[in-house]
Amino acid sequence: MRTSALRLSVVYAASFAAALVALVFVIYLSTTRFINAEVDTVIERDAMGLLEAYGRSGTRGIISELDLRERTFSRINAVYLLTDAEGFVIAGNLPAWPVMRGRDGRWVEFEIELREGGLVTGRPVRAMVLEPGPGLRLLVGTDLSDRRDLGRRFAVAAGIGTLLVTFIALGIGYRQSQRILARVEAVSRACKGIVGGNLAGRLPVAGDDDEFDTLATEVNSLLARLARTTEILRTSLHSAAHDLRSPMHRMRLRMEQALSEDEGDGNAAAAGRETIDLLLKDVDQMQRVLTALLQIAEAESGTVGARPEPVDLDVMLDELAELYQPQAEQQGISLTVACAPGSRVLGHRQLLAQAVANLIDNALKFTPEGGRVDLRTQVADGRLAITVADSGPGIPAGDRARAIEPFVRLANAPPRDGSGLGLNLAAAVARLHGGSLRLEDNQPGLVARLELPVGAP
Amino acid sequence: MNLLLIEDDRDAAGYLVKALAEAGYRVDHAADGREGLFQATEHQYDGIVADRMLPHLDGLTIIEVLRKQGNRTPVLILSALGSVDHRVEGLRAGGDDYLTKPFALSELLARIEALLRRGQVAPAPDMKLRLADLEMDVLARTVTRAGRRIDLTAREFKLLEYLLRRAGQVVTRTMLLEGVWDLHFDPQTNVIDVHLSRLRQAIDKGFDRPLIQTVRGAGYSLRAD
Repeated sequence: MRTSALRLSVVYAASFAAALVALVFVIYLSTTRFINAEVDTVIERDAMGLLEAYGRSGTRGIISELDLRERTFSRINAVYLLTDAEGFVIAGNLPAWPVMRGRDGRWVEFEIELREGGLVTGRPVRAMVLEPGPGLRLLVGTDLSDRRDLGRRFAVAAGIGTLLVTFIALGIGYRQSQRILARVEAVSRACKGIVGGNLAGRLPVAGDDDEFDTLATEVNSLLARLARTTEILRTSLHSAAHDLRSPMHRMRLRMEQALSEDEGDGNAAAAGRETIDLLLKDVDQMQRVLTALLQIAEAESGTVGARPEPVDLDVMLDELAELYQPQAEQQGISLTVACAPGSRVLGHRQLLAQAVANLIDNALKFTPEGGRVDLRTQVADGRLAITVADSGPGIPAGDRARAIEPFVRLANAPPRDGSGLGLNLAAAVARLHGGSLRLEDNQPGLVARLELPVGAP
Repeated sequence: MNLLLIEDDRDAAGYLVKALAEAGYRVDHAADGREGLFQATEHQYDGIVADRMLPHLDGLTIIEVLRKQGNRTPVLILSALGSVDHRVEGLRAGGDDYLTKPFALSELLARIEALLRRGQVAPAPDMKLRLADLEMDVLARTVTRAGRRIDLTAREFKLLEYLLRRAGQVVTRTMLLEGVWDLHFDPQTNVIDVHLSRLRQAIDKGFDRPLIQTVRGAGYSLRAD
């Protein structure tokens, strides 16, 4: 991991430095070209002036012009030399005709030696050679030391700058890649833990709101779903085994008893019928549990298959209320329904109807005579809530979440003839539609609140 | 009435053949899909009861083949696959009804009876129904018994119409829930019974001869005898 961080940052810094060097080189080239052109223009203009002086008054013109320039403030770093046909120096600031190093038409380049306090330094000069008159040779040039220094300084600055930038890039790159690799490492560690069986483990979310966090959040919601499905599978298997074992146990006992009674008793036929009746009830009970389990499994895994269709919940609730009305009246319970108009969701009508029927069924089961059960829908914040409120004993706050778990029977629950999975199926249907089921306090009584996103799933 | 039972579970098939014979049907049994399809095309049956999962050829395929041949014999599908979706699939394949295993024998008999009757019903359903002294005008939405007008709620009316159209047949609670409420699940309580007892209050109270009869262990039947 560490070596990867270093390798990544070196590559990062090196490419950065290379780009910088290329940039500096281009700037250097264009700058020197500009300065060179400028030097040539200045020399040419100067030479023109001297030729004009020659034109006016011959050699004397040049001499007096050069003399004037030497005495007054004039062009910096200017180099002049005027020689006659024999090569004698007539005027200028050079001791003798220099040894040329390069020649390009009228342009020449050479070096002059300058003594300064015992120190000899060579100074490059660029100059133009002219012949103002017969035998006369005029050299007009510029000492290029300043320009050379500038170039040198430029190179040094660029070098230091590049080095500096490279180091900074290296540092930042190393830190950055170390950070990225640290997060990859954290994710990989978390994954190892989860694979190792810690299903509650989640990928770390740094809170930086970056791509890593987005990915981790996505993966975490995936893990949460997997964990829930696994958990449901685990508890369902456990509880199903238990809930199927009880009726089977009863069936076994009954059959054995019937067998032993058969041996002597004359009432065997009647007893046999009764036993068989009870056995059928047990089988029905087992069938209910299995059916509910299958439905929950389908809803939880989202493999219902049928396409969701628009369902008018207000119509559906009215119909369900009407279905349960006679039973409520028989129990002396007032069942009311009030729906927000246009409560339409996209969903599975049969499953939604069964979920709400289970909630009503549950409410009626726990509400004493003279009590009330109220069905309502409310639309708020893009969510549609179906509430089934009863005036029964309610469920203590600590037990409410548990009551939705499969097969849980709370202490005050009357014996059930159903599957014992009604609320669980309702919760599974809610989740299938992207909603939720919560149990709340009705003060007194219980409110089952089934929330669905409008336009779900 | 001739029935064809296509079921690969030999024990279950044996019981069913016996029970159907006792109910007055003549039953042929086919033990796998190929044989079933062969028998169904060879002979003329009034109804077919087919298991969904069969060796060689599954029940849905048999129905599809029969329907393509123009064979309109009513088919009841039996299946251990019980979800709403499987049901829809079965009906879409051309099945006329769908029953999930395990089922009560009374449920099967009631549904077969309804299925065979449906095959005989005229294309335009009667709008005036009558049983003994009970009369219903479906369009005018009026019900009278012995000339006396009976007021019913919309649902009670629908319930009575459903029963009247199947007068003499046994109608189970799940059939009522499906046919009158369009709900395809087991409500786990006696909601339907309470509705029936209300309807009974409305049309039988004060008359010597009750028309709505409870069929023990099965459901209800509207009959005049």
